[in-house]
Amino acid sequence: RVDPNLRVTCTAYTVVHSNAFTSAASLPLRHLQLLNSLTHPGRSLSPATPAAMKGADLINVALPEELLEDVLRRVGGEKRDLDACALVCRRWRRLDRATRRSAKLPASGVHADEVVGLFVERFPALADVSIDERLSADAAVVSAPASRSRRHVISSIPSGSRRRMSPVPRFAGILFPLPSEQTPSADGIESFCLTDVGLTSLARGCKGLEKLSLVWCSAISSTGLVRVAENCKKLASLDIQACYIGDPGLVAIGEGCNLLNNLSLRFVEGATDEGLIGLIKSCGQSLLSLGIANCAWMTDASLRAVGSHCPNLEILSLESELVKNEGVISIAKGCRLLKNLKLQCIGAGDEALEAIGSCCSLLEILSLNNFERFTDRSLSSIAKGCKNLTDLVLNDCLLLTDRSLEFVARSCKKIARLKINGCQNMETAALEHIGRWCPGLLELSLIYCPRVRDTAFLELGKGCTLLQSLYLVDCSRIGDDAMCHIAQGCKYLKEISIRRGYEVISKSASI
Amino acid sequence: MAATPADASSSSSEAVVGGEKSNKMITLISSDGESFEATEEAAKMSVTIKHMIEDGCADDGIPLPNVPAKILSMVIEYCNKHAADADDTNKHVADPADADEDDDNNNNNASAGEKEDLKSFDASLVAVDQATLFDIILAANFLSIKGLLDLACQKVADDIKDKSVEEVREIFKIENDFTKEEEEAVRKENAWAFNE
Repeated sequence: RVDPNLRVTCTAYTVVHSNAFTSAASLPLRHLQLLNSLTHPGRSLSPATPAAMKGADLINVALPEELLEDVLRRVGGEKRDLDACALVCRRWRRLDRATRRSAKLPASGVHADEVVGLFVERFPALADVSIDERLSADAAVVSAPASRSRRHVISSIPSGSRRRMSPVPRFAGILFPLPSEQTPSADGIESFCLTDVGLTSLARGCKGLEKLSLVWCSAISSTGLVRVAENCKKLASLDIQACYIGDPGLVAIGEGCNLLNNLSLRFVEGATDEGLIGLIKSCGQSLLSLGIANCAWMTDASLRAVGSHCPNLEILSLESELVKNEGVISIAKGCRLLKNLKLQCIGAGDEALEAIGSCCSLLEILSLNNFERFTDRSLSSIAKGCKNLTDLVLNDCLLLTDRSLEFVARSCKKIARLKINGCQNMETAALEHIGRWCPGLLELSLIYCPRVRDTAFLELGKGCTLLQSLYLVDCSRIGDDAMCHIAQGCKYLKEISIRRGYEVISKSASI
Repeated sequence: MAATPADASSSSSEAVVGGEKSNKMITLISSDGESFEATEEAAKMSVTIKHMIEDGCADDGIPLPNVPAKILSMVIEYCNKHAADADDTNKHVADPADADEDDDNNNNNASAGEKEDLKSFDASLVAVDQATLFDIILAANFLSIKGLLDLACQKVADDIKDKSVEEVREIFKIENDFTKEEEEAVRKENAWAFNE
């Protein structure tokens, strides 16, 4: 079905005019019309005989690279669309490769370093890269030429670590043919996952990198991060999970990446307060979002630095056992623009939240987890100071009683989403307050609240008429009456989910 | 303010506030020799033409060898419509005589209605066959009319979005020039490296 002449004409736009003229005489009319438009740009493509033009690929003939790129960029960043465009034809594949922005690369597998290097050459415009050792690079490797050497490599490994390698897939991918020589890394040790060498290739190949995420990269160290800091000056977001990164890496990022606005460290080992403080001192001004979880080395010293150097911080998430009141108070005093706070710090108590309440009046989202030392005093302060609160999450806050919610309900008129999990001392009155004072409530989630009874929902049904989603788990005293109240009052309810609700029986099903 | 051939050079432009904008008409000549008139204001929506006017090259009419008549008339229509819209917005803002609240409401309604009007004008301008649409893109690019370029490119993009590969090839009559292996490799690459 393919007309070979047509193909020649389509590629003619990159060919010198003389070819077109000499072969023009032998071409049918429609090709002449296309040629005319190429050699006489003033001529329109609109055909004199529309029928003759049926079957002609106009878009690739008419639009030069930069305009086709403009069009394809407007198709949007949905994976489905990008993938489809890459498959249309070779020219579109070339454009996709030149413009593709985000990728998730595997970090495990014998050839991880080489694969990442080759990948980055093929996709130089990458700006958002996630490297994950839970994914294997082996699927990308041609098995034929390399397999012999790999088998050789396999046999020289003690069986224990061989188990760690992902198995050679029976159906090998054909993405990257690799040289049959396996080049050992500098220290002569074969590596079975991404190392600093691979990360360096990425850094050098994608100087426009804006977002980087390193997940479970066991062989990456400070050296790799230093290369990233040297090359990727536009880095705005860095997310490190379960890696062993030392202080020099963090300090380098701070010094090299002045646009950094999001930093997330989770299960990161090998660093100390010094490294984090060094980073914060350099790029604290631009930081908008900071998340530190399960980094056993972090103490209040780091938080003091955050308070001193991050005046623009809006989002903070802390999960730490060493942090005490002092650290949180420093944050409160220094980060007045805080909008979103998540705390899971068993060492902190009421004083910490009182500081937040008095300093952070812009707070909108608050999530408090594993509170053993917070009492109603905390939420009273929050309620007084944070009038803009829209989202409140209370997980395992054993000491809080109904009074907390009464304070919040009366003061925080904008409450839209409320989640109460495992707050055993919360009783019916808590929800009655919400029902009475929070007409804007959109989502309610109650998990393990054994003392809350049906009557709470009477008020909720009357007051929270805009409720869209209700989620009840393990609330043993809530039954049919509650459901009736809700059904009568909440006409916008879109989602309702009840698990292990022992009292809710068939009567509710008819609602 | 329709685009008219050279002989009807009556300036039908509306009265403008403050008399700051000139009512001068500019002649634009298409690649096939047809002349079109447009107000300077409308013509200056094209940055290319704007520079030519400012450099004093516009007095004898501006030849546009890259733009055929059919397309040039559509471009001028676009510029007229959008230049007038910008002018009206300025008029509403600049008119201090409207102290009356009712009038203010009317003005607001009018500009909301005008926006709808403009949107539907834009939509119908680009609801054309592919060849014409690509010609509009090329002309808007050559003439540096950002709004028109955005509009036309977005139309093509909308035709590509949410379609399967086969559908895109069918709509644009694009030949699949991949070998079977190449196509397979791209599919694998997409599945392997671009997971969400």
